[in-house]
Amino acid sequence: MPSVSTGAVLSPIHLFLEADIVVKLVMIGLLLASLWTWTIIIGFALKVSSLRKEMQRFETDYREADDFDEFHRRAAGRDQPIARVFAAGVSEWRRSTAGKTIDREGTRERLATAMGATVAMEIDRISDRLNFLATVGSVAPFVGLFGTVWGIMRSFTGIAAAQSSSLAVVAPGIAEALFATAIGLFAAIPAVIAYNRYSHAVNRVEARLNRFADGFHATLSRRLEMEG
Amino acid sequence: MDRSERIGLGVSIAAHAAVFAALSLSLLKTPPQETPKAIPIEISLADKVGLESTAPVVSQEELAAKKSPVEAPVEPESAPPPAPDPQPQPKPQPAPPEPRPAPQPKPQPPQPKPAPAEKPQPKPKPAPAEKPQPAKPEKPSKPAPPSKAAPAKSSDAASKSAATGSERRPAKPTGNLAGLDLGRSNNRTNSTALANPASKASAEEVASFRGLIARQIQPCANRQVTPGPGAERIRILVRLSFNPDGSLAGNPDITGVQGNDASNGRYVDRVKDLAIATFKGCTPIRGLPANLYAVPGGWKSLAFSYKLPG
Repeated sequence: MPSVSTGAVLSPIHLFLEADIVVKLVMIGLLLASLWTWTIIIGFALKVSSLRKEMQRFETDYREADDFDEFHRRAAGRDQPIARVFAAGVSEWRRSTAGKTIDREGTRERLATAMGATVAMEIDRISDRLNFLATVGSVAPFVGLFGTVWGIMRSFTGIAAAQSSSLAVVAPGIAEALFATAIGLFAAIPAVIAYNRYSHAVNRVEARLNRFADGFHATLSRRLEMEG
Repeated sequence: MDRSERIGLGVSIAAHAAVFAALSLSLLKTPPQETPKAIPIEISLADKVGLESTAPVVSQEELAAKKSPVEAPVEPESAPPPAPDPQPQPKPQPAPPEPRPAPQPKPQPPQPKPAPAEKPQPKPKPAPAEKPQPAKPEKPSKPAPPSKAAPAKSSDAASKSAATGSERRPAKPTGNLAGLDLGRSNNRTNSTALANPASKASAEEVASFRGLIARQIQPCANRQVTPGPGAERIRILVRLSFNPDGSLAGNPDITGVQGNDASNGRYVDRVKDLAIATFKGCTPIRGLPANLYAVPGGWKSLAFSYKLPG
């Protein structure tokens, strides 16, 4: 039952404690969502920036290397998406050229498929958390709205019980209810912004991995002709 | 959860805690603006200046009978004052008799005589301001009674005049005016006309008791159902006669009908009945001011106009 508060301050603790149990659950859920959203946002920002640096360094090393077999020995241990794409290409190359006869067309296709699959897998792993941002961005406002509707319903019941419609009776309950929507928007807005930005970032990483895979495929293809 | 996500979790927890603390400690709170408080002003619609006096009329009743009972108690009380009062010159004449407080029994025998003195008394009363003038002409006629009334009477007069006011002293030594003075001063409080009806109901009083009646009639008026379209345009003029207890003295009189036309003419009789039923249903009226019953403009007989709700 919302009671008339004397000091009308925007204190989250006060608003939380005064709220109904359902609204409290909604608030807690939204707060956790907001916490996890920001964890993802910050973690993803760190991950993408380090990913770019690693890709930059790996591509530089790759261009400077004379022989990809020798480069593979150095770089195979790197725990990086681009290194795994490279490793997938090399291992497929080795398997395809191990036999006595070489099917050049078949080898090219297998190389492209193997590296494409690795790129897709790496992108999946990178964008693993982004779906949570999308979910929070689209659902949190509705959850907050649910808390608000519930709180306002409770507050109207309180009005009926108190037989008084003065603003002093109505206002605290509605303020507490609206606090749920505020938390919902607080969680949703950064989530939506981050989701759009990071989708773009993931697309760029994917394009870059694909470019590297295409370049490596071209190198292997040339070598295949020379070996034949 | 890898390293970057652990960092992210730590940072986001810290940031949420910071926002939470900032809001809790109301660091972002703007000081509430001072809104001027609405001061309720009482508006009185009463007309402070009545065009006609509503004060009670001074009673014209005769006062003589009251003098005798009143005079006796007054005398001992008023005896002490004469001593400090003798500043005015007229006093010296009554002063000699004063040493005789014993003759108190004497004043009583003479009192039957002041009864004939009633005639002069009514004159001063209607217009207190004029008193000094009629009082003087009386002196010539009185000198005879004073001789009979004895000096005790004059001591009465002196003491009385000392109590009431020193301006009228010149008239007092004649003695007979003592009764006049006493009569006037006591009459105001003891007259049978004490519960003076107001001479006239003022405009604000009329508005007040008419509003009172209208409020108590309203519930009955709200109960009436319109007999048909257009009936609510009919106004029935009614004259109500009240008993002093607020009940109706007889049926309300229909004194006129307004607003009836071809479209609602057939409802007139019905609305008249409703009007009578309304006024009879919610009487007696409680709380009407008793002193405004029979005065001009009072509520003994009132004209109201009745109209169906809507």
